[in-house]
Amino acid sequence: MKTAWIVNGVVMVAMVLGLWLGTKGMVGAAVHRLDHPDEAGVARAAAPVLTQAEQAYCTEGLKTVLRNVLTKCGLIGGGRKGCQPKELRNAAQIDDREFNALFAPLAKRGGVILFDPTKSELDAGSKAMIDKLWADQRGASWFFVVARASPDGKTEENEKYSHERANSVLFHLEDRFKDPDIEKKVGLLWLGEEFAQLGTDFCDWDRSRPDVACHRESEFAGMPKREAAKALAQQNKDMNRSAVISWIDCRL
Amino acid sequence: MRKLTYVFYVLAAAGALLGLWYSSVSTLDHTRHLDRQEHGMNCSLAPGFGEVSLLAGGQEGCKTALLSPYSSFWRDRHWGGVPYSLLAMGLFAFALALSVWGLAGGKGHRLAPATFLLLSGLAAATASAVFFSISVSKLHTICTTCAGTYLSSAILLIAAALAFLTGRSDRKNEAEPEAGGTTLLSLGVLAVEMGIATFLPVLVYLSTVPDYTKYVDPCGAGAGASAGTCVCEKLASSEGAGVVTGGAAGGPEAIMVIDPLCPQCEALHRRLGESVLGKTLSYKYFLLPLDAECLDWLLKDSMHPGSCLLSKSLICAGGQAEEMLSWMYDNLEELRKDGIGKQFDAMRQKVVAKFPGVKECIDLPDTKKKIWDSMQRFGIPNKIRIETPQLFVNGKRMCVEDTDLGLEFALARLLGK
Repeated sequence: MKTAWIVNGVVMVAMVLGLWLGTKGMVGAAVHRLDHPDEAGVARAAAPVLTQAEQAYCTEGLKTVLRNVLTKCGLIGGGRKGCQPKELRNAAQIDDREFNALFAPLAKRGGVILFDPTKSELDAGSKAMIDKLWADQRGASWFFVVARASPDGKTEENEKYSHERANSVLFHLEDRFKDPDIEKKVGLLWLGEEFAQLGTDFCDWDRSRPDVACHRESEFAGMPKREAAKALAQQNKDMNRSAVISWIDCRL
Repeated sequence: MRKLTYVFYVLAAAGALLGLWYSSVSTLDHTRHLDRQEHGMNCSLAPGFGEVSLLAGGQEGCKTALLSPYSSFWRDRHWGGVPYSLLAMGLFAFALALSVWGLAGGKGHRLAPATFLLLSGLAAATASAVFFSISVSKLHTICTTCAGTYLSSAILLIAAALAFLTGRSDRKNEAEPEAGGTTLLSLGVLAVEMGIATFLPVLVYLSTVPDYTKYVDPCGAGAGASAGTCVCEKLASSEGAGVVTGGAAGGPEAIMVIDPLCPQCEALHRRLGESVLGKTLSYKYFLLPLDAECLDWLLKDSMHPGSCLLSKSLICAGGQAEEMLSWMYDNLEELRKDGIGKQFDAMRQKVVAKFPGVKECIDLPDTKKKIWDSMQRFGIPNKIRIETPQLFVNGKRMCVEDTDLGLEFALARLLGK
């Protein structure tokens, strides 16, 4: 009987030792690895993060101008929205041609909202275009509205129309989308007749009134000079009673 | 002790040895994950102790069982909980030691060893029956290694029962029967030994595992530079995150970054649904479809084609969004096939057939804009990683390493419980 209990003791001690060491070994190995994470774990810690879009056209030059416009026109840092023509001249610090060239890469992203002479009301086509382009935000943070007026009529009145056209776009966006952050997103510029009139380069852009013809300068070549000049002048008037709208895919 | 009793004891020892083997492998599979990294499983009827590659097939059942709340207990108190397989290890080790003792001393037919061998078999078989029924009814899969344990338990129980029956006639025919007092003493000693053996692995385990608080809460006071790969990430604000919401109304806020076609998101969503603490949370789902249609400025190729369409559907679902999300995850394989095969119309038809109310809304320009708005208002300001799933509780990002086995523990710590 005594022998049997000695055997029992030996067997049980062996079992206890086995269980003790086995469990300790399994857990200990994992705990060691826990404090010495492998390289895969370190790599996982450096995953990319969500950022705003940054397209190839976002050159430092463009960003500087946009930043100036946004800062001086009240978008960055809150407060007043919009820029008047005189302020814009100082904010952009570039000439008309350079200013328009900044928007050239947005031809497929933006659109031109056209207005009737001496009017600032949006028609159905304009509203549809604004809705479509506004909805296509993707990774952009800033929505620019650059309103204009044609050079016919008085300068002061044209500036007023330009201002009202920019506001029409903003008010439509506010009514339609009820976005509480809209003022942080929309940059309004209203240009009078004296700054950065749209040229025929903008014929490539989608227009809210596709029936309004827009021809590149080369297309006027076959016409008699006088007729061509008249047609071009009319086209310039039509195209500048407008607001150019687009999201800007740049990180500022 | 008769030859037949010897044979049954040998059989019982074999069953106990097998059970010890399988339960040790299950324990090793569990403890291997205590380093909070991804690991393969030894999911086989002939498992080894080495680590099997994650790419090897046939591991799903064991992985499902391991990650389910049924593989361990005290998950809110210890990272990953305490695996039930530790108890099995102890019980089978005791049965093996008892068998070896019975065979070596030739006294296996005596009442005490025969009774405790039978008790061991009964305990193992009962536990196996319970876990088998959980596998079938709750997990809908069988873990092969666990099946090995069930089989071992059956062998042990049958052999122990037969040894007990044959031992009874051995005891009757014994020339010098054991005195009643000695039998009682033997029963008492074996009861103590059985208790020690069964609970010793649990005690050793508890004394060896460290406090994981510093690992799961890298923003917490105790976290230092040695707290693993996870870094502290806090939300500046949860504004804009919850285009789609769900969970317990009024519960602590959790923000889950999801892609409707991401299998890991489905798994985390399911685990949170099973988790005791997960059920108490109020969820805001931040939709991050890894699909170039919705994320074209960051992704050249879609990781989950079609997830933009499904995200738009979720936005359109309104109050039915959580029901729709569960439906998407229930039908994930089918929807993923549609996405990979660019069968977006088929995908849309399935969604609309189940939720007709979203038909007109899916393609409205405003719908996709809501996804982008959410990214602009929540995702970009909070520098949300382009990976899914992610879980933020109390404004703190749960380490990805804690979203499976350590989920309950991490939830408890992030909730300050």
